Amino acid sequence: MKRLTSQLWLTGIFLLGLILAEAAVVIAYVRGSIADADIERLSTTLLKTYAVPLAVAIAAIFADGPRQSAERAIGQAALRKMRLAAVLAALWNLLLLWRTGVFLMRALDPASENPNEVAQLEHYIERVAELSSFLIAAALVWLFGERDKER
Amino acid sequence: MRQWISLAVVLACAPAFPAAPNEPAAVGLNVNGARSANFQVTVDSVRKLQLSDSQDAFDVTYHYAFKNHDSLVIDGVGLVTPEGGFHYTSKTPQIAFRSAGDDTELVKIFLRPTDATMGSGDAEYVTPDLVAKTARTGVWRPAKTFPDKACNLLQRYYPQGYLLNPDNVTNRYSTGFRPLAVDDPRIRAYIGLMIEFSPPFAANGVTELPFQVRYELRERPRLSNEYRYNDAVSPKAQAAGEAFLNDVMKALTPGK
Repeated sequence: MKRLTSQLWLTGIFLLGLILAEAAVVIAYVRGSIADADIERLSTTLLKTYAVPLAVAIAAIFADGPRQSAERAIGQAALRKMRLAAVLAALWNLLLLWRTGVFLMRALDPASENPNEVAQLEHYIERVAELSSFLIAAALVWLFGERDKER
Repeated sequence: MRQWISLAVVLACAPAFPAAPNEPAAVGLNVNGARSANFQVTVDSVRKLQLSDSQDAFDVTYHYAFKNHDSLVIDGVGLVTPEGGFHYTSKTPQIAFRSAGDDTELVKIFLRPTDATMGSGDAEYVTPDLVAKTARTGVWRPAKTFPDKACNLLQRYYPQGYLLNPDNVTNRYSTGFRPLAVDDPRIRAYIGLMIEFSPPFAANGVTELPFQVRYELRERPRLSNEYRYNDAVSPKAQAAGEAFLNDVMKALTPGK
């Protein structure tokens, strides 16, 4: 696997997580389950949560620029590390997405009733993202840190 | 030695001070009831509550009977019949009965809680600054039966009770919020009422009582606590609110 491909995989995991979570919020809004102020509140929380990993991932891709390192294949040991980083990053996303999925199901269920649902989801995302940040440490180190070691 | 003398003096003086400074002393005051040859007031229950603005309030139930009076005035309630009973929430820890003709005070009952309240309460009632600009108006006759009629009506639609919220010129009965049946599963709508009328203190001979019913209409999406108020609510919630107000006004029409 080329280094650029591995970076795109890691970036894709975070990007997919953000898109799925945002889609759940938009669907809830379109179905009329939340108010105008809620979509702004939840979107802001999601963007704030994903801002750091996505900023690092995108910056790492472009930091390689025209260097040959981006096109160079990575070794077996590095590949195993990259896979571990991808699994941990996916786990971090799943921790956030399962709760967003529950929110979406409640938004689609007309019998569901909870005036504090938005506040609870927001609180969950903020707390869990903060406390589980160690899960994405490997991915962030890989995106930047592995470059020099592979040379 | 000096410390022991001071302690002895403090202990000797302690019974002279009331246990709770806000509670009236029992001697010489009418606490939770009064009786004489011409009247009887019995307070059945008093519960101390806390309103959403952290003010103390008292949920009180009582009944009374006065002889030699055609009507009388209860502070905050208005002109009433000489015999009856009420159940409401009041911010003042007392009930004052006045003569309807000359406004002299007949008796004042101080309230002392009879039931312990579990939890802080945090009851929310309609406030004058959030009600809709429009109001429904009506005229009730005879004037002295209006409080009884209005209070019974509010008790029926708002079993959690209502608050007496008078100022110097106007009597107000403010309710909490009850859900409205709205034909839209996405929203939850609620309505609270505030019945207002000027107290007819110069009341002998007064037969008609003009009143107005003001309201606060609010709605929120199912999963949100972001409310829209009055004119900003959806047409379906407005229609449900109008239907409810029609029922209320119909019940407050004399002869209905």
